[in-house]
Amino acid sequence: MQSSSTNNKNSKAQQARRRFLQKLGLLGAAADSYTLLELQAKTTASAASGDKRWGLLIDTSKCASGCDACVRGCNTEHGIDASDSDLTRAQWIRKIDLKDKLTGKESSLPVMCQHCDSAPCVDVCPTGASFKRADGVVLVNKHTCIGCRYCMMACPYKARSFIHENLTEQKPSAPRGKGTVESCTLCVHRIDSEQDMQPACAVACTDEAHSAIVFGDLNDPDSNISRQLQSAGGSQIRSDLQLNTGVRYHGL
Amino acid sequence: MSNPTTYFQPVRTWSGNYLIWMFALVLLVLAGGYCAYHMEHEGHHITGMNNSVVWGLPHVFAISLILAASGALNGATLSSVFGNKLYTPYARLSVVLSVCLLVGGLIVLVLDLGRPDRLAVAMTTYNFRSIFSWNIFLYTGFIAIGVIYLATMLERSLQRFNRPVGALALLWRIVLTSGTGSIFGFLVGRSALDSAILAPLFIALSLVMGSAALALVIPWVSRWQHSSVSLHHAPPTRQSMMKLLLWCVLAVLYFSAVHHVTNLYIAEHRQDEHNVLQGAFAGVFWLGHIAIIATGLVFLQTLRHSGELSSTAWHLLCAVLLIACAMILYTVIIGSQSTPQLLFPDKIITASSFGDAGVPAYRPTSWEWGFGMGGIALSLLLLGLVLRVLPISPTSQS
Amino acid sequence: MCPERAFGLWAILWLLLASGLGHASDEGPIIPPASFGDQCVADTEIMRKQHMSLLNHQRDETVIEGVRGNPFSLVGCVNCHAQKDDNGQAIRIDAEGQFCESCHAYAAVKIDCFSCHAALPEEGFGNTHEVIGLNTPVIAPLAAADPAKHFSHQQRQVLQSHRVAAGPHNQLRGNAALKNIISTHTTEHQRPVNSDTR
Repeated sequence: MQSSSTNNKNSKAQQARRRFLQKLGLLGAAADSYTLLELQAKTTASAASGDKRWGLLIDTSKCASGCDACVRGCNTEHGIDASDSDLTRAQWIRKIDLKDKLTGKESSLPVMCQHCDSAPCVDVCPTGASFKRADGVVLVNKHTCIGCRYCMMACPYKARSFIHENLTEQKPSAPRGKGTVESCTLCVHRIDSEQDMQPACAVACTDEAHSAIVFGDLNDPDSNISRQLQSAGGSQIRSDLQLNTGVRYHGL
Repeated sequence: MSNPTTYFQPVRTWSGNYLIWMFALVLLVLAGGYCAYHMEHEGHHITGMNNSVVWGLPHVFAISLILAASGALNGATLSSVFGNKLYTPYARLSVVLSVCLLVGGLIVLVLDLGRPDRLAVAMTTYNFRSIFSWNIFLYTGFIAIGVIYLATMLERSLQRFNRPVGALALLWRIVLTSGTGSIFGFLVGRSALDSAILAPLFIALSLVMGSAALALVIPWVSRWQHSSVSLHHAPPTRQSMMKLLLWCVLAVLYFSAVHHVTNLYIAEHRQDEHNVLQGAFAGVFWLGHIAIIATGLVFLQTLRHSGELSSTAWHLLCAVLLIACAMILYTVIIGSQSTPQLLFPDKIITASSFGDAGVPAYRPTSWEWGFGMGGIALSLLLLGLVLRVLPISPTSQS
Repeated sequence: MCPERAFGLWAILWLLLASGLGHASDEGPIIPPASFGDQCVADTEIMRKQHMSLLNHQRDETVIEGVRGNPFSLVGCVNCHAQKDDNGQAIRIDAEGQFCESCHAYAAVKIDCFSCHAALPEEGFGNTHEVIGLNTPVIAPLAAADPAKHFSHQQRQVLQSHRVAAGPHNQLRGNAALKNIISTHTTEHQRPVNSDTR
């Protein structure tokens, strides 16, 4: 770009000075204006469709206590560091071991965002950053999330995590950053991209030969998940709240 | 005093008292600002907040300030809407204090966000199903109404609007406080908060906190003004305020009792209720309530014997009320997050990495204390500055 | 005049002078060349002026509607424009003097992307044989090929206005090979499963 080394030097000095001014915040405040989102008919064929409703069916009889393959799979997929304090680190999916109060029967299951049809987090979000996609996936638009954490107060499943620290080395497919709230995305970056892709937790569970997590389209009566739901049944956590969750449990 | 020779003046003095106060407040604001900056820069992990207790001490400060703001308008409302002349000398101060407290509370609320730099997003993108969105309008609207209300007091030609604007302000603050209470009142996932009674409870709390804040600010201001009009010299006003506070205290106790006693009867709320009454924050809960009951009893005794309280005792009791109400808010806001959310009513949780079996007690850090105190200091600093430029403070000798 | 005010005025004056003087010897930013390919997803002029607009539109479509694979992705920017150091390790695109930072420092505009988004290319991007062909200029105009498929309404408007302004020669171009790599590039977790498992 620069023809001579003197020019180069000048430019370097220039840039250093500009960097200094930029840090002072004296120049270029609000150079990029926010573009208001226009909701309109989509011409692109690959948009998430309301014909589908993605969901998970978790068979607790196949889920093994002590196995956290799904959690590790999720962490690897999204670049979540599991070495930080349990209190403040992100936990999109967690394993819970249970014992029945009456029978003493023990069980184990993963809990993540339940992708509610009437999601409390979507209702309470002041900016609309917490939203439900046409295909039923509940997401946080981190570009408009202001980090108020009201959704975390509202979520009955404690499914959301607030990022308490600066993050580095994010995965290209999973942008995450300090000061915003996040939760299970049902691996939208995977399921949107190609046919027959499964969320990382389901893949990890299958690899571990448990196959306790089945992913699929709840609206399609012929899908594997719908057929299993019809034959074996599946209940919702806190079904009393009538949130019509996208994640169902068998043998709860 | 209620005598017709009350004049209003800006604080003109450069007395040491005023300067020292302002200087101290600036220092506190700077310290609070640094705490907020540090929190924003490092992330919320330097606070006691975590993914279980997501709203911590800054929220208690912010909500306290907002409630006190709404209640501080009592003086103006009594004067201009209900025609109680005892409060007329303090009507202007009441409005200014109210707006300043609200600004302080909102600043704390905003700086506690994960991304306060995106305030523009919060102000331009609304989800009208969210009570939070409505509150943004209620808060900004309250500030606007406060300014107009003050204008009807300061400007003679606008005086005929004083009463209607006062009535609008009264209505507005009732809605505002209900809205603030409703932030917590409709959280189905948290049984300690799943109750509409939080809205009236917040109104009662706001009346106590606001009146107490006004009572504390009046002598502070009159000392700067070297004014003889202060509550110290106006026993009728003080007695009236005591009566008002007594009623509001009774309202707080009533709504709190209804909330907690009904929770004991609702099986699914019982675990949470036991945690409130006996858990990690039981001390704060009981101390707050006992302090309020005790103060109420002192007021009752004083009024029955129509005896006077010494200035020191009166101001001390008002301070006790403020702190006690903040403690009750603390148990509502933080206590409610300190019980695990009940996901599986029929099961005992034997293992979880995310606090499903029990949430560790929340411990606020000094960053949060500094940040919250900075918010209070900011409110008072603004008050001091407004008093300096506008004829707000009452004096009987002009 | 009180001394504080005088100081404040001097400070402002100094800053104004400093930036004004700087402008006189302005040489423009030193922007490192792309690591892959010689043709961006749109012409340089469009990208320089409109990249945030294009990125923002596509961002909203991707996040909210789930439309993926369109050309104006931040991941795409990083993949091609991130440099490698002497050891072959990728350098963050927002590091001092790198592609995004150099120009943003020049324009004194803060970048808010990379506190959340990866500033390093996708793992393995450009390590495979597929890189061959990237240096071949692609002349087929992307928008002309299938505008309805690849661009949103807003994007088309932005591009249209440019084309009108710049005349017929300034066609929007795309690098088919680049697009190919982006779409066929798979990470190790992405294992297709049988369709009947759904």
